[in-house]
Amino acid sequence: MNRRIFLFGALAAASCGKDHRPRLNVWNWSTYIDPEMVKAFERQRSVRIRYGTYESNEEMLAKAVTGNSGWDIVFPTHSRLAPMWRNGLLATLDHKRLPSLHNLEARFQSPEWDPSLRQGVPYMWNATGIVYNKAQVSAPARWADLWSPALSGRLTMLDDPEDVLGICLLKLGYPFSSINEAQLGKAKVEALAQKKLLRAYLNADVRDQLVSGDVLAAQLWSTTAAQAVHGGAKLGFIYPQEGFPLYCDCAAILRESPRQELAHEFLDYLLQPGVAAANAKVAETATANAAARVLLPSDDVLYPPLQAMQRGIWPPALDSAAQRLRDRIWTEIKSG
Amino acid sequence: MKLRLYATLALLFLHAPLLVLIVFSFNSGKFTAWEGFSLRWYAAAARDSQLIDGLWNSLLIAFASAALATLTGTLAAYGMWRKAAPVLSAGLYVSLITPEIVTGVSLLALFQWSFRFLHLQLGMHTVIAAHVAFSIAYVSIVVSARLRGYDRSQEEAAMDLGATEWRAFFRVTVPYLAPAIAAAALLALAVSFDDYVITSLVAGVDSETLPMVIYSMARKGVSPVVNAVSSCVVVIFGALVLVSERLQRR
Repeated sequence: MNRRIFLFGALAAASCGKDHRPRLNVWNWSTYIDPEMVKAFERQRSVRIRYGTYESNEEMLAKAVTGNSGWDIVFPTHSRLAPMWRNGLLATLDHKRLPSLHNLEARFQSPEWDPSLRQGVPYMWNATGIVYNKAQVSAPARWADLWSPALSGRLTMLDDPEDVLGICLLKLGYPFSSINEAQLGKAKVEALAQKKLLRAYLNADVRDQLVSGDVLAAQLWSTTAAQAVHGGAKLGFIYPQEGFPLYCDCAAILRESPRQELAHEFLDYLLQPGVAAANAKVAETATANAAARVLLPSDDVLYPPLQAMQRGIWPPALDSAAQRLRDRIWTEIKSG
Repeated sequence: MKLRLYATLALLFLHAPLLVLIVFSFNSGKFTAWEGFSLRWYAAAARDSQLIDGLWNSLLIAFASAALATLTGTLAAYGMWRKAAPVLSAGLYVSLITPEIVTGVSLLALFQWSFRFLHLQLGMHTVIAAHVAFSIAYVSIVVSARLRGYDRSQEEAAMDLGATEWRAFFRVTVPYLAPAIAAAALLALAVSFDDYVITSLVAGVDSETLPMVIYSMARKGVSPVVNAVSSCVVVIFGALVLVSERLQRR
């Protein structure tokens, strides 16, 4: 039986080999690129791009960590770059081959998680804030407003330990990414108190319930919120006073890639203003590319005003002990 | 009368989600609120090359692995029946009840270990191998059930009349088993087509399946394009089941 499978595998491999153009394997989040831009790159450089999508950083890491995944370019969230870098999974970016890096917004040219921009090129970013129904509730200003009994049964929080624990900590005046056990204990009490008011812990699925008016307020990612806000004019989005988390997905080249040169070419291509703008339009999220942003319509949901941006927090990666502690508390909250 | 009502309710409970899915695949709006009839999501699905590639990969993997698993599984069931091997058939149940994630991780470990000297990468071949591995148990169990009602003396009679053992197997046993083999093949096709957990673990660069594409859309909220594709899948598999029913009745 093994031999048969083997022969079949060889056959499948052989049938894939008939296209002789050089190829590049790009693994990205779903709907994070304009397919036309991929095709245009294929035509320009006469290469073939195998474009795949993943659902979570963990799914991507599980493959990348083997060092034999076959992918050349992946898009980890900023906090995952450092651990990947430490494990030797990422190639160092060669700035000589990325002449268009200057198109990035100033804050992304030297971000706090990777000041010399060696690990990954900031690509798209989003924040967590509050969506609310303008017609039925007054505008919230703080995370603390999500503990209002008026929202009882018509409020949702994200189904995500980092975001939920983080804002409970912010409400108490502690750091978003605290790993202090006493502070996390207090955050858990807050979360349990709020849980009585919640309809559910929901991620992107809450979008339709917001549009239909069943849910009046929700903790939500700006990207999903923008879809809902553009789908129904009666919704608003705010960046809370206590601060809010920001996440940036970065284009990184895996060290295992035998096609470093072509991979750099593709990253530079993604930095072209027209390409970056087309991709941001499809992804419906905020681009890190300043030159592209001027080509896009302004958007108060996706791009916080400068003042609000100063309250933004880029959460760092947590070590595994802290992660386990947080996961345990999260389980206690959800089952409590 | 009561029985009929009960059956109707049970069927409705089973299939209502599919009906909702199909209805909303024709919705002109983006959200789950009815806005009007439209085929825009079908058109969008037809243009989405990633979905089409995923569908194509899924079909290729499902047919290849179902063919291989049906062949091996049927022979395995026949062998175990001939030798009356209780330990082996119990082994089949073990592979059936092993949680998918365990099967997936162990297959991945096996592949990664073997790649050290085979110089291969995860891809179509590993997905097909994995699907054959877990489909064999389904096939064998279905075929075994049919074999339980089979009398060996029929084969012996054929051999008394001059047939070789092979000939007796192909002319007497296989026709008797045909409905079970067809059912087993369809089952293998279906379990292969909708597997996500094992597939996502052993898939490589060239083997993104439809369930993987759909699953990766979840973070942004599933688009109605998925409803359209899923409706097509339901119709295709529904048709397959009807065809196999017809075949079995003959």
